[in-house]
Amino acid sequence: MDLPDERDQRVNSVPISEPGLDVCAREPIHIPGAIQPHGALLAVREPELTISQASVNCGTLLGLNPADLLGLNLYDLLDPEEKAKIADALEQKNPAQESPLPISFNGRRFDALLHRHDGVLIVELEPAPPGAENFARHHRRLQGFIEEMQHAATLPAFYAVVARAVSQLTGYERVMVYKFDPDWNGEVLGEMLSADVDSYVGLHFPASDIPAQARALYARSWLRIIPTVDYTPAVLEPALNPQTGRPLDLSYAVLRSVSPIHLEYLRNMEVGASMSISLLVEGKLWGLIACHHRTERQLPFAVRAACELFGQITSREITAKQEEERLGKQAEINTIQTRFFDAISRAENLAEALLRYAPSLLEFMNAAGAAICLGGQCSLVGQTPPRDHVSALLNWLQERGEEPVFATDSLSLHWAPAAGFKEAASGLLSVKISRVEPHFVLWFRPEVPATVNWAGEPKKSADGRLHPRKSFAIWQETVTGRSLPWDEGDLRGAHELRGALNALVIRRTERLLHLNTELERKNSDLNSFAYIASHDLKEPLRGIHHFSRFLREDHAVELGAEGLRKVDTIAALASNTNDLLIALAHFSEIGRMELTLRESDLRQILDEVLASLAAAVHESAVEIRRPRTLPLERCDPVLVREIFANLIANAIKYNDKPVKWVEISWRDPEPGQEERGPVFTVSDNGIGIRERNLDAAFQMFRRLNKHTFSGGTGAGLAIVKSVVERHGGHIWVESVLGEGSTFLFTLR
Amino acid sequence: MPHSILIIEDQDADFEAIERGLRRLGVEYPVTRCTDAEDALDYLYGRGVHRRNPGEQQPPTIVLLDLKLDGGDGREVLARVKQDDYLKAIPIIVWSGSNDPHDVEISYRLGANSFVRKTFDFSEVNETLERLARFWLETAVLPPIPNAPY
Repeated sequence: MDLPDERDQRVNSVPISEPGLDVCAREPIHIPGAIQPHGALLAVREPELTISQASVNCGTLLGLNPADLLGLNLYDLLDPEEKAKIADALEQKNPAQESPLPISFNGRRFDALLHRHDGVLIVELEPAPPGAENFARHHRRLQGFIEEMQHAATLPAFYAVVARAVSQLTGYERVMVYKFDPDWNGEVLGEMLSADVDSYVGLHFPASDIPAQARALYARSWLRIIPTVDYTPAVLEPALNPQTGRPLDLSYAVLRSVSPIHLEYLRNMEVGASMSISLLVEGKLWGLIACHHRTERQLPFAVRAACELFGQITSREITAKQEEERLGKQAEINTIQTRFFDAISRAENLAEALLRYAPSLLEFMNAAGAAICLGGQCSLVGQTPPRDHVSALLNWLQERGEEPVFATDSLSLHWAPAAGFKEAASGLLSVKISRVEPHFVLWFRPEVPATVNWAGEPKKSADGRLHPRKSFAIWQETVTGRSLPWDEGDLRGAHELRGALNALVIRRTERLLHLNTELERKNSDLNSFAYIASHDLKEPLRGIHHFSRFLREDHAVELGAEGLRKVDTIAALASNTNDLLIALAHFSEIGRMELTLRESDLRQILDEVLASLAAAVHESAVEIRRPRTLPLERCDPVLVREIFANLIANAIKYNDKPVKWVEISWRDPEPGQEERGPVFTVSDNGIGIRERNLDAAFQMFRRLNKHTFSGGTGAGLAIVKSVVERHGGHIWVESVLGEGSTFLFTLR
Repeated sequence: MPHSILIIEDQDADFEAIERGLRRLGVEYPVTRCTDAEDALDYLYGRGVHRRNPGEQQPPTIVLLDLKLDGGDGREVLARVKQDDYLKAIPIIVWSGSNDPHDVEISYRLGANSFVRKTFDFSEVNETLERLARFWLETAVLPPIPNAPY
């Protein structure tokens, strides 16, 4: 494998205790002090153009030894035509753009490559291939490949075109498209083989194969080539550049000598020559086009230039394809989101809405399960961990702190208990909706037991910094406890959803505030109405009543029997209306009372109620039955008094039996209904309620028996229901017409 | 000195109910009616249209006061009378339709001698009046009101 280029040359001299990565990062592979011997290198001081360093192989290639060259003026070596070209190139800001320049030494033709770096002019001389280089031909071929590349329908097809193009341009036996993952492990995505060599497609290579400083170098230059792995480096003389006082920086030198450990690595892979082209996306190293040959292989400058260009174009294509993919996914997410948000924003209850649209919620994140946790209440959708585990997970997430979105494809690595449910949920994406309240939306992805084909065992390779590994046979590793990874689109979606839900919560809060203000206003209107009703309306009513009485007293004779009956009806109607007003005022008063819960003795409350009803009890000769002492209960004693007073008063009032009784009792909660608390009962042997009227019994001012004007106002039951419900309880009635009624209620 | 009764009441029905009730009870003391606070105070202080000549009718010996008056507030009359060194000896019975405990408390704080709630039913009005008359006109000894300085 060619990809791992430079390994740490000095690693053996570094103490073992020093962390490997640190060693790699500090390994100065850009200043090896030597070059590959197929070309010669001169370091030149400008503007004098004095040669300050030369590679030892200059004697062999140029016929001039370093000792002869050092101190000479570059122009002294050139004929007038060459001199003019070089002078032209040096006029340019970047002479590399004018390369290569043809130069002859002792009848040998060379390609001169010029570049400036670190204040030094570096002149590399490569033997020119025989015959004229045909740049145009390479570029025409490139055009064809670029067109093909742009029309590739799928990513695998695209990678295949890239590999085939480079294979045809260069003639390497193995050409691979190699992509780094976020941890800098590499995977071979596309390949073109033009000889009987092993395929590396689908193989993964550990990050340590290409150390950080090598990757840094790859991100700076587009192409590296090693024509043969069996070379003897040609050192530079002198070792330090006299101009800088440092070893010559060869970061951009084509001839730069590579690490012997890297060469050993290549030899272990049975690679005789290699080349790699960088693929950069948004300025970052995305991957490589890596080329292998079993035997020596040099490429003419023109082909390398074509390859560099192709690498740049491929990089752009990848950027475009990734953007296209991102936009596609974004569009898809947007569609789902729009539908989702639309549904949610129209909903009254956030949790309910999230649940109702759970399928979209799962689709939204391509997840198998989700948990919607609002204020400690969790709703589970699809395939999730068991409820108690979700609660524990939430606690853990809460403790993790502020980060609003957390994603992992292997939860058990972060939180050990997750190993217990890795099948259902190895992947977790958590969105904390509110910073204050414990509101979370969690998505789960199931375990995908993945088999990773490593080129050799990666763990051995980790300490292989001492010796590049020899085995490139497939070493299979089954990775457990992992889900499909959450990609950037997922995370972006999570952030956007969070933003939208937050906005929704805020909007809802604002609406609630608005409603509250509205409610307060209406309440105040109701209060004024109740005031008007109980004061201002009562006065004229009293007047009507009084005058009807005066009429009766003063004009009985003139009115006659019929007239008197009508006057009495006026009085009765006024009186009845007055009762209604009193009831209305009372109902409104009860409704406005603050609910103050405290442990209360219901027996004592009942005693007081019965004492206040003593006159009515006595008058109706009704028997009060109390078979079971009422318990203590957490409630508002003042309001609960209203419940008993109204129910008992009704029971007394609506009874036409000669022997009347009212029974006040309670029963223990039904099994499974314990949280509802005891069921209180008020029964009578009164007139009962028709079945069809049962539902209407608790409606405001609904009188079910209006055979007399003194039959009450009907506000009593409405008050009772309101008080019961304000306690969180329920009230219902069982009745047989003519036999009696039982009112039942709970207070929790 | 003969008793006289001042009834401060803006509602005709209520006034008539009281007047009828008193007649029915056989109470024959002179009854004066004022319908607003200003008029009532003028009467009590013997000023304006109620200016008294010497030897003429003195302030009432007992007052029935409605709190809610079309013109002004009954509590104003109550406060003024009970702050007056001379008039404050006159018993004032608040006769109100209010169910608000606050009104009751305020009335007593201002010096009302009793607070009676207006009843809806005419027959109940009569019962209330009978009890009031029995106490204030037959049982209680009212202070003499000699030589009004006003």
